[in-house]
Amino acid sequence: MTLDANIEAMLFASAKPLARKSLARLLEVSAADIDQAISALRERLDSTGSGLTLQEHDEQILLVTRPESAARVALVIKEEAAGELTRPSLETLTILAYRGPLTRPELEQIRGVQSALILRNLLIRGLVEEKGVGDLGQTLYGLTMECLQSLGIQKVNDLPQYEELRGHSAIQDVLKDLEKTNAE
Amino acid sequence: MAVTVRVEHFDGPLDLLLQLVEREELDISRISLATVAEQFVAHVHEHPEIPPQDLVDYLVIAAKLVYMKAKLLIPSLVDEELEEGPDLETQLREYRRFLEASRQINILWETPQRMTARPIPMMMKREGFILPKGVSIESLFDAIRRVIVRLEPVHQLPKARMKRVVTIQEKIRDLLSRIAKSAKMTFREFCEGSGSRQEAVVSFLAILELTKQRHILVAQDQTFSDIRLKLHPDAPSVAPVPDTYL
Repeated sequence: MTLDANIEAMLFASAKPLARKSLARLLEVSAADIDQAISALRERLDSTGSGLTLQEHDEQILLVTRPESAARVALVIKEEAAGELTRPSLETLTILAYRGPLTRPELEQIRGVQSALILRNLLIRGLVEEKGVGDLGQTLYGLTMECLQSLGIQKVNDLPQYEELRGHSAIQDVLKDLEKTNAE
Repeated sequence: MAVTVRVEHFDGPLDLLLQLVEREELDISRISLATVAEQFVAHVHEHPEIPPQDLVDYLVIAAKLVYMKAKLLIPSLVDEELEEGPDLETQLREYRRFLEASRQINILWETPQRMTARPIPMMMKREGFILPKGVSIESLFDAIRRVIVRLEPVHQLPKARMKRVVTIQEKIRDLLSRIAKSAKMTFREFCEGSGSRQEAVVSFLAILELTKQRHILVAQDQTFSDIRLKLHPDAPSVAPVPDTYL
């Protein structure tokens, strides 16, 4: 069986997100092989009319239903209504989606207003989660996979004008990727 | 200059500033920001409903605006502290881009096209309690009797009773329910019927905690006067998080 088919089976069976790194470790193949297999799997799912697709966030891969099938899926799975987003919530989610993960002061710098309360509400609603610790020992916040699922997007890069709004961070991403490739 | 533009609703200082600039049909520039500086300050004055804890954010922006205006008049003016960080123009432009992007995100949010992941399967377990082999009612009874005998202390310790002091959790619950009923009250009213000085101290701590967690707002007209309490307009709908006052 091909590597991408095995990964597909593992993602289905585990039902929870799997990191690229742990897939490489479990399958005893290189990171490059995993990347290639995941691209192949995504390509296969997206081009052969499958009802499933891959979601990716923070190096974590998850098998999900295609957004177009949401109404049919709702016939068998009861999802709690997500509810409306207030303007401050929406603003905060948007900034974290394009620029995340960010610390609270970084977020507040962009919004111009203190955001502790709004962050806490989003954490409670499961739309935002802690993503480790930044340079100055402050907690980093980013979107959860559930949040991306509610938005119906495979990855944050699919958001409108992603590169443009990510701005300087996009350059940092490229540098980080380069570092990673060099390290391997 | 008279305030010519009315902005009825705004979320935060940058939102207000952006609306002022846009109503004047100006682009974001140092000149346009200096133009609306006075209006900004006037708006903050005229909107006493801005929560006091957010006012500081408005003041920061107001200070930057006044500085900007002063700099246009006196180009040699430089304040190290106000020069720190990104300038207001850049900040406002960036804010506007995210505000626009947030409308796109809202469209995605409101489109009923969510994706669903498989629910994480539960391990299959037999429900209920199953007695291990060889256990009977008699053997259980023997076992519990042995445990009780072992628990009995060798020397009976002298019995004393701890004086019961109200916990901060109780006070928080009490205050929240009372303030929810009457919307407003004062610290003195809250302390009425307190049995002891300790209880009054716990009441005060409860108020501090609820203020910190933004369930209530407090105001005091002068030193040592009674403290007025009211429900925070944006109080979180969830109960106060307990671990922060352990």
